[in-house]
Amino acid sequence: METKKIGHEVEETLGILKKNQRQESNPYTYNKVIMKLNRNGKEKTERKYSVVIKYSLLALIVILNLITIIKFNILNEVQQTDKQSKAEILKNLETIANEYNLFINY
Amino acid sequence: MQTEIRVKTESKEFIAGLKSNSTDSFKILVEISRDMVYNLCLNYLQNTEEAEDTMQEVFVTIYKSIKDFKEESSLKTYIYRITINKCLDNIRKKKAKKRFGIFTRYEEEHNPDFNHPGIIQENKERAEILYRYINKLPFSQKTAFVLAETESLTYKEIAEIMETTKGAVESLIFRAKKNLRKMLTKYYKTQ
Repeated sequence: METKKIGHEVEETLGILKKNQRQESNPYTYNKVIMKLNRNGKEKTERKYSVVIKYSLLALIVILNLITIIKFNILNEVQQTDKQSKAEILKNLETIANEYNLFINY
Repeated sequence: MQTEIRVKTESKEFIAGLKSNSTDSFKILVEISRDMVYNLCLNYLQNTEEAEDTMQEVFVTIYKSIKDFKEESSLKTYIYRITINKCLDNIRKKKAKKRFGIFTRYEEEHNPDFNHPGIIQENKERAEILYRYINKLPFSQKTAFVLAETESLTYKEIAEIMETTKGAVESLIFRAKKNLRKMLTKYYKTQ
C-alpha cells in the first residue's frame, strides 16, 4: 500500500512541469536587448581604451625594470673595478715600502 | 496572425535581413521569440533574474553569430540551440563560483535561488523537489526532458535542436525519467 502511494506521488510529481504556466518576459529586459543591439551588441564600456592603457602600462613596467637591471649591472661593474684598482695601488705601495726598507737596511 | 508572423520569420528575406544586421529585423525577432527564449531559460535555470540576463545574452549572441547560420535547420531550432548553450554556460559559471563556497552542500540540497513564477501555487513544493532532481541529471538528459515536458516539442524537433537522432532523444528521456523516478522514490520514502 505504502509503495503504491509513493509510486502515485512520484508519477504525479514527474508530470507536474506540463502544468507550468507560460510567462511573459519583462518589457524592461526587452528594451535593454534592443538598446544593446542598437550598440551593435557592444558593451557600454569602451574597452578599446582600457586595452591601450593596460598594454602601455605593461610596456612601461618592462622598460623601468630593464633600466633598473642595466643600472645595477653598471654600478656593480664600477664598484668592482674600483675595488680592483684600490687593491692594485695598495700592492704597489707595499712593494715600494718594502723596496724602501730593503734599501735603508742595505 | 501568429502563424503569419512565424512564416515571415522563416522566410529567406527575413533571414537575409538578420544576416545584414538590420535592426528592424532584429526588433521583430526579439518581439516574436522573447517569450519562447525567456520560458526556456526560466525552466532551465529556475530563477527570473538569471533567465532575463541569459535572454539578453542569447539575443546578443544571435545578433553577432547570425552570419554563420547555415539555414540547414529552422530559425526556431537555431534560437533554441543558442538558448540551451547559454543556459549551460550560465550553470557552469555558477558551479565554478560555488566550488569554493562554504554552503555548497546546503545550496545543492535546497536550491535557495529557486524562483519560478510559472508554477501554480498548489504545485510549488512538488515542483521545487522535481527541479532539484532535474538539476542533478546529466546535461543531455536534462535538456531532452525539459524540452519535452515544458516546451511540448516533438522528439524530432528535440533531435534537431540537440543535433542527434530521434532514437537517441527517446533514450535520453527514458533514462531521465528512470533516474528521476529513482531519486523521487528515495525522497518520498524518507518523508
